[in-house]
Amino acid sequence: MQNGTPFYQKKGWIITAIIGLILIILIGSIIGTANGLNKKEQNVEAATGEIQTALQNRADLIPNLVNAVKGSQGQESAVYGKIADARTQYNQAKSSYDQANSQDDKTQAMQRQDRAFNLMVSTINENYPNLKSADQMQTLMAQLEGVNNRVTYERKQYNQRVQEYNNRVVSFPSSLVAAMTNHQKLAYFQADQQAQQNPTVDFSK
Amino acid sequence: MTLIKGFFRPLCLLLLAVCAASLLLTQSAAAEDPNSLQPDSRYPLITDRAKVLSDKTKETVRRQNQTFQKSQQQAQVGILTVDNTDGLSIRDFTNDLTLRKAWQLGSKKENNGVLIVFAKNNGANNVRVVTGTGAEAVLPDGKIRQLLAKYQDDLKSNQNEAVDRGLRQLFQELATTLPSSGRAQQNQQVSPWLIAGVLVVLVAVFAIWRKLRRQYPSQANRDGLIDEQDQRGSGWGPFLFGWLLGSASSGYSRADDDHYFDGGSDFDSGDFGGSDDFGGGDFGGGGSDF
Repeated sequence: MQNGTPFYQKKGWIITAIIGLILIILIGSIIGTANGLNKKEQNVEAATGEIQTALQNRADLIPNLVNAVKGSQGQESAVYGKIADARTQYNQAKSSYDQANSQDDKTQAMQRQDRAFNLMVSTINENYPNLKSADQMQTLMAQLEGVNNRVTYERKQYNQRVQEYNNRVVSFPSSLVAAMTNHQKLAYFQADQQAQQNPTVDFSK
Repeated sequence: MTLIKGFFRPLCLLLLAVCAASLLLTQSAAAEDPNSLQPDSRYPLITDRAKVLSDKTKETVRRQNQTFQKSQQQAQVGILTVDNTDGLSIRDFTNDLTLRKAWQLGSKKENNGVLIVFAKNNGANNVRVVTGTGAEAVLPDGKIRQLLAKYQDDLKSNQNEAVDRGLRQLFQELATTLPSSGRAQQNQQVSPWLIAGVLVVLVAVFAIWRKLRRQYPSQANRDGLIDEQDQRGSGWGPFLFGWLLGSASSGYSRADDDHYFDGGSDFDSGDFGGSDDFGGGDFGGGGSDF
């Protein structure tokens, strides 16, 4: 058997070849899974950018609101002080977003931006309760609702991307690859609890 | 044996009946659920579940979208009507609907689609107009609100004809605001099918070449040893080649999938869209409603 048969029919060769093939398939699969994880992570990062844009567009409307307030009867000095405070909070949250190192830090910073904006709006709403019904405010109200909805929409889409990523990180067998390449679960973007409990924050309600 | 056969046919029929029944039931129960609602299969741009649209309105919508399709910008304006949004506000309903990417109007590049969503909601007659990011420039939220206010009397009426007229006029206003000029360009993208076809041809050529070399061996192969080695090798070669290529190109995947060992690329159904289909454009939560 040993002398007559060519080497590739010997048992040792066949076993080595099979093991080699399995290794190749395994390594290829691991690479594929790692690429998939990275791709899902990139989707999350892209979605973060979208939320940040929406948050910024929303905050840009505040000067319009303040101008509209100037013409109305209300507690002017108290309101301006509070709005200034809330604006400082917003800017601080924005800069911590810019300096954030990890995805979870970015999410936290954006949540603070969300809260700061809602604080500004609720301050205005408390002191100028009839503002939203004024005729000249209708366009601005529509714009506010629009930007609010964009933030909500982008937040939901972001959470979808995070869920897709997290599913891959925790589900077997890609969880093995995730552990190897140091991919961890990401936090969801929580909606501002205060905004949900306090309907006056949303001008549309 | 005959006993099993006797059971088999009625069992199959029963199974079929159960499947059909459950399919019918789920269709009617999920009618207004934004997470499972589907656009009309024949003409997705008009999905009139609440049956409020007249033939005149549908014809207007069709003709306008045909005009759009011939233009360079490839915008689209669609209408969806439902009886009830199941307790959701029309805004949340539309958000859930568009997040699913089941309605994708407008060109894929420009995202210049507009969708009118109408819900009877027991007489509340809620209307929402959603704009893709590309349409927002000419149709900002404030302007949409103004348009809605303009046709408020018709849209909020409890007369079907008035609602139909309001929707038609709203549609026409939105359509005329969207840019529609020039001529449509031919699709120049390299289709994934082309790449796949080339790969298949390459692998086939590779395999055939191997086979030919075996059949017509050169002088060096006459001693038989190398011959058989070729015979072995041609089995694994194309397989490994194709498989590793697939692995390496896992980054090409365009659609989301649940495969864990992701080795292949996905193909986009948008490459084969007809004149009545969605253009593939996305929405971003913009728009206004009342």
